[in-house]
Amino acid sequence: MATTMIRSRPPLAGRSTAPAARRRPGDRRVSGYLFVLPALAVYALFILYPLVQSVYLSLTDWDGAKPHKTFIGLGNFDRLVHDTLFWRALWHNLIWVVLGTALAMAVSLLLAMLVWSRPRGFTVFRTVYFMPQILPAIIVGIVWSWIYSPAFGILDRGLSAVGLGSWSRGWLGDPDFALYAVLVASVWATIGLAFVIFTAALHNVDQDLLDAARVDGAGAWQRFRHVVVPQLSSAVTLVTVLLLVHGFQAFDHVWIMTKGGPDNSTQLLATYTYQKAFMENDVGYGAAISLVLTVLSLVVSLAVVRLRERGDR
Amino acid sequence: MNIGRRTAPGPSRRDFMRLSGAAGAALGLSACGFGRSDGGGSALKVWDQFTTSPQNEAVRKVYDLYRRSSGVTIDRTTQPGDQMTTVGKTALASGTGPDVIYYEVGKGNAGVLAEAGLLLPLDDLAAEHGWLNKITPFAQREARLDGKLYGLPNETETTALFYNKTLIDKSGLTVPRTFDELLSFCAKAKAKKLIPIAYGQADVYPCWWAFSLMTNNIVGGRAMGDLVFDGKGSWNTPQMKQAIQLFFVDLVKAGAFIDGLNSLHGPDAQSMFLSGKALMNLNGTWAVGAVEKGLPGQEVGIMPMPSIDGGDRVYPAGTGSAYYISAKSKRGEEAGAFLDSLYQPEALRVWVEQGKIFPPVPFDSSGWSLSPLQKQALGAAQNGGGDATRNLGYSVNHGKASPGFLNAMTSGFQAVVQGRKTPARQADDLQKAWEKGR
Repeated sequence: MATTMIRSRPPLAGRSTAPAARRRPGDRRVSGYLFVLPALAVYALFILYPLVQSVYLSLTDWDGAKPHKTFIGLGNFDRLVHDTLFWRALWHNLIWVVLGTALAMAVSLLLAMLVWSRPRGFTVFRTVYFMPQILPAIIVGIVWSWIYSPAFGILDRGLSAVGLGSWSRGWLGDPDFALYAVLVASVWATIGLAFVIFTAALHNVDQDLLDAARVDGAGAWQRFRHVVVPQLSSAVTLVTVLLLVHGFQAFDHVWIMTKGGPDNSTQLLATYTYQKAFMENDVGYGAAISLVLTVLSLVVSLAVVRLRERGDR
Repeated sequence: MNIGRRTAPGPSRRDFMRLSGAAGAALGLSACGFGRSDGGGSALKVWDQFTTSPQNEAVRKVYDLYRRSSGVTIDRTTQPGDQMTTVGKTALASGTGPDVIYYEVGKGNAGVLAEAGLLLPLDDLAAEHGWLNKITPFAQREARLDGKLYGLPNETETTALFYNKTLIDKSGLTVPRTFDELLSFCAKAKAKKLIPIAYGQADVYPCWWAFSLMTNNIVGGRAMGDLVFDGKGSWNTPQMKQAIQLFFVDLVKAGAFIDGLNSLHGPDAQSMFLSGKALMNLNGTWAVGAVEKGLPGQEVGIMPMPSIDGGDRVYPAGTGSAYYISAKSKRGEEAGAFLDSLYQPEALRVWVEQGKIFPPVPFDSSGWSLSPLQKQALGAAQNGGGDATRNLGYSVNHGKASPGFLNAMTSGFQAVVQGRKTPARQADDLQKAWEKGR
């Protein structure tokens, strides 16, 4: 195959192949490293170096301003183990990740299935479903804060209009509901990408298999469960990992809508990190929390990929 | 396969060198100044927090006065307080940040910068320019850290209840003067489908204002100053528990606020007041400009919390933020002159008349164009509307209040309103957070 390609390719004008033939193997290796170098430099500068710095900071009691950082070993991690608010934030994160991922997956897959047959107005539907994804988090946060507002929010007004006035409440101010209220807004904002990925994956589903299943008497649910879903496995893995990582990193919508309140009922690890590091000048402790967040995110993502790979074998 | 790879077309080493050269040239050009913002290195870099109208325009005029008198250009950057707290530390530590920064006063804010040696002590400059004879003692207390003057406070802020007299009269109600009257006022207003007090505590700070109003009335201004600045006293006394009980439990039960006040943001509460849905608004004198603009032609006044058990009515006061000079600034002299210019008579008039801001220095406002509400706010800032020793107090979120204490107030008062915490437990938690932050 390679030989054919070489023979069919016209010789490059004005360029001799002789120097390439004389090139030593070491030269090629150097060239390869040189090509990789810019990306590696960017990665090292913006990912590896901050990560190493975070590890170092987590071992200090730095307040973010002092020129000297006092090394305290694992003191911040010991403190973290006994910090009830940290465990509460972690619990909120787990709810957020599990519920948020499941909800976003279900809704985006459902929407993708609805437009799979490319109905009239497909482009409009696709645009509408994807639009929340491109909205800045600040806009999403503000708009949903208005929707939930106890003073003029359309949710409470809508409930009152249909006779469910007793259900209305200050959604973001009630510790029992606030986390779920923000989560709904966040899911709404993130389903766009999952929807696009599922829409693209559905185009590759083998129609012959579907037809065969239909001929064999498989119902709609059976065709979906046993024919469509297995062919979406790669997309499902990708979306799951993206949503899980996004879930662990959740910050912006919560910060804009509740700042972790009321009474810390929407406090997540990322918001707690920010609060400690930047609002309470406890940068060392904040770095320790952020490291836990990073490790959790990595472990869960790797576990999902491994499980998926094992399932594919 | 190997042959194919070896002869496949692609960038050669020479191409790579060309690309590297182009990238290097681009980097070199950018280093020479391409893409740099206006102002650059020849101007005095000033960072402030005056992002809203009309303060933003007034501050621009004040800075312009300095530019015209000194010939020094000002490279001004404005950002909200939250952002300033986050970015300011890093910027000052880097040495490439502002020469002058308008930063929140207090142990947990500017105190952190001072302790890290990032701020220039201003005692020498204060002596040179005679600031100590001008700045009111309470404002100096705000800007001092460990006995040294670090900041130049430029605005006296008092927390207050704004009331719409026109609307209250129209509703057949009277402005309450005692706390019992306030409870009755709330019940009557609610019966008329009006919101008695526009107040929400979704943001971190409104509950600090509310608590300040209550504690100063119950404990007294001087005692609050001793507690907040010198740590004399405690937060879990019966009076403190009463303050929490009255506002965060009794007023809530009396229907003073909308349901779900934990989810109402400060600006939204202000909007309710400006739209005529609420009779009062718990706010501060910094909102005078916005209130006048939003309620034209209506009689609006400010007052402290109604009297509790016959005690004095006290306006909690504070300076909010102050101007500080970076210890790494190479323009210390110019920065000092800039700070001094902020208190010059011409600048004072702009601060007060146009910015609706009251610098904590004596000034004669006769002949100035001030609205009745501005005059009232000015009186509140200068002497609490009566006797400064009895009617002017301190804000609970200043002085030695650590970030942990501030956070304990916000989350705790939200929990009290929800009935998840008793006033007694909240008072104990405040005391614990206070001791931890010392």
